[in-house]
Amino acid sequence: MYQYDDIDRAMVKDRVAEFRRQVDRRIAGDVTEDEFKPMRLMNGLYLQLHAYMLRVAIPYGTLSSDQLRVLASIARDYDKDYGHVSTRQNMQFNWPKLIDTPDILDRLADAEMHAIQTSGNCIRNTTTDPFAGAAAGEVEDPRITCEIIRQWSTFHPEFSFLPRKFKIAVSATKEDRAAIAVHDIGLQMVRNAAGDPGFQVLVGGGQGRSPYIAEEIREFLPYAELLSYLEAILRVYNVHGRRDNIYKARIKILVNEMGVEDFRAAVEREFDAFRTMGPAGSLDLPEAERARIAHYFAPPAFDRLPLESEVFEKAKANDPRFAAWARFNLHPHKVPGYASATISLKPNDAPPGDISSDQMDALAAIADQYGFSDVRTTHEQNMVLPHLKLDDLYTVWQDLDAAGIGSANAGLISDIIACPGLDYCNLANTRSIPVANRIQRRFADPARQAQIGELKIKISGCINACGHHHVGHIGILGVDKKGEEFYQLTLGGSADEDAAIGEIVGRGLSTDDVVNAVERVVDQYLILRSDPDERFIDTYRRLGAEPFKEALYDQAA
Amino acid sequence: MTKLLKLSDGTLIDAPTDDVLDVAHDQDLMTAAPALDGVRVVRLAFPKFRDGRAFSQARVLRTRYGFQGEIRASGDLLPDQAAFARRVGIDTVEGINEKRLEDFRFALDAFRYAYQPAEDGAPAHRLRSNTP
Repeated sequence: MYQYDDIDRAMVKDRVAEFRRQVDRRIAGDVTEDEFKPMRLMNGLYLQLHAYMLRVAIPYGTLSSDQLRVLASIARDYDKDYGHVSTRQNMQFNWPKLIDTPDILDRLADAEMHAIQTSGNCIRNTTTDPFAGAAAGEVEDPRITCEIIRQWSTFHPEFSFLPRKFKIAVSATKEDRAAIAVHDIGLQMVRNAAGDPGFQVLVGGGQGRSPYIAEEIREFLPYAELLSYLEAILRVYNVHGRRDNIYKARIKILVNEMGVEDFRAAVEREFDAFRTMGPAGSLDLPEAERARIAHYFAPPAFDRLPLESEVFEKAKANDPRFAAWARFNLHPHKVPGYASATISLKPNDAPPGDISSDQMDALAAIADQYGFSDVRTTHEQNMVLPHLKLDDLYTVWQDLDAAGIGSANAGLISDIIACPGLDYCNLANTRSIPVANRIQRRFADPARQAQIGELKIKISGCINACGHHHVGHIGILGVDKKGEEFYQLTLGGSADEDAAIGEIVGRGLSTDDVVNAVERVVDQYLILRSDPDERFIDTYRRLGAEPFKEALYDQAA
Repeated sequence: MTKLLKLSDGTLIDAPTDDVLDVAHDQDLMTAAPALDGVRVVRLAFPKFRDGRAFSQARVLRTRYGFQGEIRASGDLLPDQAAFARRVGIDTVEGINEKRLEDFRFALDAFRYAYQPAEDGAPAHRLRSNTP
């Protein structure tokens, strides 16, 4: 993974010193909360319902085991002994004291981490495939591009006060595991007819109260010209994006109002202007710098192993719980004899995405012993050990299981994305976490979950859609009606390479009804599916919403 | 006499009496240049600190139109934005709250490096000595 040099280190240390001064002045009363707010937001510090929340950046979801231990130590020393993985692959701490935050940032900086631009109207953490560098079929490791974007976007002098926040995601395989179509900019790495690497550029996707699937504005952008093109998009957005209404300020609204043709023309015009500036004025990185960054993402020293492992096969045959974990939580690796494992942070009856300090330490130790010290966070609020030998998997799982992070439910109905909701968030209309837990309880039987197969439930406690309900196979949106919590179901959403916004079905459901409704939809799917391999989303795409609506309201009436 | 904060060294100076060309914060300089002939000072506006359009305007003035004169910022610029302003080519800030002068001076020196090419210094990659 990327390692800081003196310059990168100075950058985060200078930031901590600046923030320490700002906090001192706030505590002394020299600046008001209004004046302090933009400064703390630039450092990922929110004020929630009950306390401050600090959002630590995990650039493109990549962590070393040492960095994970530092996060564990922060949770232990400054918080309530746990952290929370966010849908931007970051980690949130829900209970820090304001006075401690500079020390927390200092500790992060010592471990080459920060909380820069995890909030505010600027370019946020760039996200990517949690299996980056391990998945088959990559054009190249997408984290090289992500790190280039991280550096370019950090303290960008022109783009730190945009109309609204700005999110970029990168995918380097045909299968999109980074939800690029619901980002402000989605970059799909491709090769052109000549075999040269580059990007298909999507723009204007997003969720929130007006969900959009991103549109292509460039079929092929040469690899070396990425930053010029991003700069052109951001400038057009900075100049023309709406600033009169916070709900219409994202780039998706601008693209929609201008029309994609006019937007593209404006971007290309700016892009041409950058290109005519010549090498001296170029915004793109020189090849030597690109190569320097790329070097840090060279593959680890994999052993030459047979394709199959006898130890692994035998363990699966002997231990059904392990067999279930191996069936759902493993992802094929590009190197024979290896696999990537999803570490589920979705045990029953816990807030989705939470991980305790002890669990972080346990995971770090496992990564050191078996996984090249490499840990990832995922936008689905889980973690990943990307490089494990098949031979080691049974031992790895036993260690995970002992730490309480061995749940065999990746991609299943209990692997739910949920926003923090009214338990933490001052924007929420309803709670999300208890709904997730009640669904988990209803479908607690592992055999039933396995029978249902892949089904992605995503829950947002308000229209801002932080729980990604628009792209849930089953989405659940919390709404407040005269002080009472109601939940609206959407069906057929998807965040992958066939991205779609879910369709709203029917009226709001009461807190008591929502789990029953989910169950009716699932039961109807089991009746309708053509065969056990047809996933929920496939059945929905084949038949549409109608038969599911019938199931919902026949019985609800 | 209007005071100006000079972003190059953090000093307060009296505004020179030159004519000033005002460019509104919502003017699109990407598609049409303002009439810059004979202009010594362009004044850009920050109606609210959150409105960052002038950052783009300054960069376009410098890099696209090669404007060499003074670029002055007016309005609600926070101390924490001063270094960004300098990097996009803004020279002076008009009408700052003098109680916050120390904050401005601190912010102007807070960062030793920057990743992006800018008007006031080389990007980090040109300064890197190490190769892995």
